[in-house]
Amino acid sequence: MNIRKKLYLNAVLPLALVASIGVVLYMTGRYVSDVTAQERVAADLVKGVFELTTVADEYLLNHSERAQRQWGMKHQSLGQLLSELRSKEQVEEAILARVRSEHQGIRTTFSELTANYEKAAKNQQRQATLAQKQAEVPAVISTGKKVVPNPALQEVVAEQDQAKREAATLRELDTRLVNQLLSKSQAMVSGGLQLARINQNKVTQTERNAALAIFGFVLLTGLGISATSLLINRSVVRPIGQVKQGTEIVAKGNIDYRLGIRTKDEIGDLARTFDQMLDNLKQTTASRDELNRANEELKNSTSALIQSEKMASIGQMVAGVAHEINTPLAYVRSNVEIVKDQMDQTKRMIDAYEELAQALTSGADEKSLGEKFNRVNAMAAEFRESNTVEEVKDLLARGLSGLDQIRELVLNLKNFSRLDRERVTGFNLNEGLDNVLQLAKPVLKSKVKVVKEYGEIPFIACSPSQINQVFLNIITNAAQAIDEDKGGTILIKTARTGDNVQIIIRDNGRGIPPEVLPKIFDPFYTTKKVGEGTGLGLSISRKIIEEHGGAIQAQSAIGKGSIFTITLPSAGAVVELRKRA
Amino acid sequence: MQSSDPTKKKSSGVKRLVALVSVLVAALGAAGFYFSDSLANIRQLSAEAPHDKVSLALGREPLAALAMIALDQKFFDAAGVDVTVKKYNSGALSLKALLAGEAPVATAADIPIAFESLSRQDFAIVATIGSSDNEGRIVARKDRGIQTPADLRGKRIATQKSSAVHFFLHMFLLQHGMTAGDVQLSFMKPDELVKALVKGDIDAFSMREPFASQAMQPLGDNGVVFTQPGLYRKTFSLVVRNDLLKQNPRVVQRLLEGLAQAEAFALREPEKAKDILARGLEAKPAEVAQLWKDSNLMVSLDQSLLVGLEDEAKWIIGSKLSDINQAPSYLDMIHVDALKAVNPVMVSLIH
Ligand SMILES: Nc1ncnc2c1ncn2[C@@H]1O[C@H](COP(=O)(O)OP(=O)(O)OP(=O)(O)O)[C@@H](O)[C@H]1O
Ligand SMILES: [Mg+2]
Repeated sequence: MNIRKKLYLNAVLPLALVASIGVVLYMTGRYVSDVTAQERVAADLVKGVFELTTVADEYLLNHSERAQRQWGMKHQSLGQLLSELRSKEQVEEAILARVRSEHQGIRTTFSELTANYEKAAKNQQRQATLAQKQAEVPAVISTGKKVVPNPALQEVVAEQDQAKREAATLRELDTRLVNQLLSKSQAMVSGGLQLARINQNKVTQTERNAALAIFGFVLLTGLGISATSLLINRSVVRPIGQVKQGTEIVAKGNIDYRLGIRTKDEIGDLARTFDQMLDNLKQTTASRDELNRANEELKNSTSALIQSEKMASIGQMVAGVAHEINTPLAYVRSNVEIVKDQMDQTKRMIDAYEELAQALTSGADEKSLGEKFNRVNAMAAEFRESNTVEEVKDLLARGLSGLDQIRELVLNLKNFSRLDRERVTGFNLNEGLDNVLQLAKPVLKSKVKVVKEYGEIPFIACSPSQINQVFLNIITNAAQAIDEDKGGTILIKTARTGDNVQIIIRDNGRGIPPEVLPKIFDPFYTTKKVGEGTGLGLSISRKIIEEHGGAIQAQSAIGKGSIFTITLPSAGAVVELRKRA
Repeated sequence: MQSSDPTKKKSSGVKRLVALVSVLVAALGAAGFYFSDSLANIRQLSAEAPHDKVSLALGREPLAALAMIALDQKFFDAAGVDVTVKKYNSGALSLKALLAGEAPVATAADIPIAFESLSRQDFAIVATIGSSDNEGRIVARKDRGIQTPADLRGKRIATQKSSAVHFFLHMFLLQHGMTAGDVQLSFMKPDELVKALVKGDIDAFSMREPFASQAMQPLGDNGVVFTQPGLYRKTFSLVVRNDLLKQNPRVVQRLLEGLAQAEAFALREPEKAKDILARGLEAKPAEVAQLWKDSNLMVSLDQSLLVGLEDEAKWIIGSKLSDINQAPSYLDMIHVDALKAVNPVMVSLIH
């Protein structure tokens, strides 16, 4: 049974109660009216018997023919009534049977009584006749001279005696019969009374039974309602509780939990669906875990990629740096070589001087002295003429500047990768930008003009190598966006905006198409040739900036150029700056 | 969401159950109170109380059928009374036995009661258990010139003294213009009547079944039976000594309860009831069938009992059958309470 049916049942039961009470009341009413009708019949019976007795009494008093006739009529109508009476109850039928037999018996007794009365009347007449006869008949008759008692009179007297005896017998029978009549009347009245009382009791009993039945119905229905309520509680409320508990358990993360409710109702369906859902969820979770693992792997490989990108950019930078170093080194070298060559002339001069000095000290001939002296003079003149000293000085000065350049590069390199990964508290972004620009020279070449608009910005807490990497990336992209032939400008602007520091790097290169713009920060998105770009530059840059609590955004217009704006928080960094200063 | 505590839930369920049960108990209690009379009745009728013991002097008469049925069907046992039976050939004899102290309870017809009540009033009628107005039988020998009732004049007729059949004979003779003086009347015990008639010591007797049939069998065509339905309405009653009524009125109620069950049985199972009666009377089923038809077997007390007894007492006194010429108050000799307690409907005697 499903919940709807149960609730329906629960709703219908009270209706059934009311209906059944109604039926019971109706039946009771009908039964009571039946019984009341029977009671009326019983009362009619008693009344009939009473009337019969009254008429009988009248007859017994005056022996009138009218009373006798009335008795006969009443007896007949009573017989009619009795023959019509029927009862389903054995006891009542037995009482009726008894009343019927008494009714028959009373007829016999009454007939006997009337017959006896007629006999008695005749007897009286006879006695009267005899008395008259006795009076008429002379007591004695004389037969000649003798007077003898009249035999005729004797006969009359004997006849009178017999009549008197007969009268006594008739009287006694009359007494007996009257009492029999009375006794039978009483028996009939008893029957009627019994029937009436049984019917009365029946009414009482029926009312009581009806009350009992109603009570029983109420109790039963109450029980029924309670039972269905309990049933509903058991099969609805409790499973709902189980479902609730189950959802809570599952909510806490135990997706292996199953409700396992197998009832064939809506809750059973719900529970089955829930369990099914959990099965699905478990599968989904499994695939989610797999995905997480894959993601983890991806992350790992991404960081490897980032590492390699870094290596690549470092490599690129190193190539540039090498070139940067190579150029001054080349001319430092050639200068040094020139100086070295010059040193030969100098040596020769020094040799000539030593020869002269030896000749002077050893007392050589004048001629050879003169010769030697001339040679030294000539050499010195040549030396002066050839401006060798100035030349060497110049060469060495230029060599020194070349070495300075190299030293600076190396310093930049050192700064760039300074305290890699480590966070420092006070980093000068303007210095960082300068550093990067130095390193980016090979990319910038001569086509790009760099315009710096550095503002008064506080030192910030950051990882310098990472921030430098970001600058290098963006500046590199900007340089790459500028055509070789046309050339262009990169404007680098720093400024303080509230608690933040803003770095704007603007180029007037080819720009980014609007459909590409949203993708440029995606990892591996590149418009460059395979092998040229990895597409990771901006993606890593954004990651770094976001890790620093900052933001990076790009604006662009095709043909006009792009603006990359980096915002980094400076809060808390100002104090550090002052300390260092 | 607080975590649901299963024990808490359980305890609330138990509470609800307890509440439900107590409501039910209260309802049942109320019902019990409301219907306590019926329950009290049931308790009264049940034989839970210790069984009573009583001996019963049973007159083996057709109208004693209910007593026979109650004995046969153990209705007295069911009502909580162990009955020891002493059987007598007539109610008159069983009443004599009661008066002689042989049993405190007896079954007897109206005439013996009326007769004995003249000298003794230490017993009471507690209920009528049957009535019939066609019980008396006059059996006569044809070879003594008896063909019609009128032929009985001057004949030797015997009957049981002071019994219903005695009264029937009186009524029968009156009906045919005779009195006791018009016949040679003698008295015998029931079984002696049959022997005497068969032997020819008497010309006729007034008796009832089964004796009438017992005499008619050997007489065959020589015998003649006169009946007069409706002439005399005989009642048959349960009679109890007053000392028992005083000592243990409960036993009387129980006896009446057993008889009431027998009455219901007779209505329910008439064939079985007739069999029991036939066995009790040692009569043939065919004879019993007629008797059954003529008998009203009903445990009751009604006004007719008084009327009958008073008239019968008049007869006894008038006929000088007893030395005593003063009838007692029969109203005082009828004990109404016992039947009233068992089945008040059947008490219509004005009291
Ligand atoms: N200043 C810019 N002007 C025009 N296009 C740009 C600019 N900066 C970035 N882009 C576009 O965004 C793309 C992604 O740049 P990103 O630095 O992430 O990768 P990449 O430069 O292509 O490769 P990598 O930096 O690894 O060498 C570039 O391919 C380019 O098309
Ligand atoms: Mg790039």
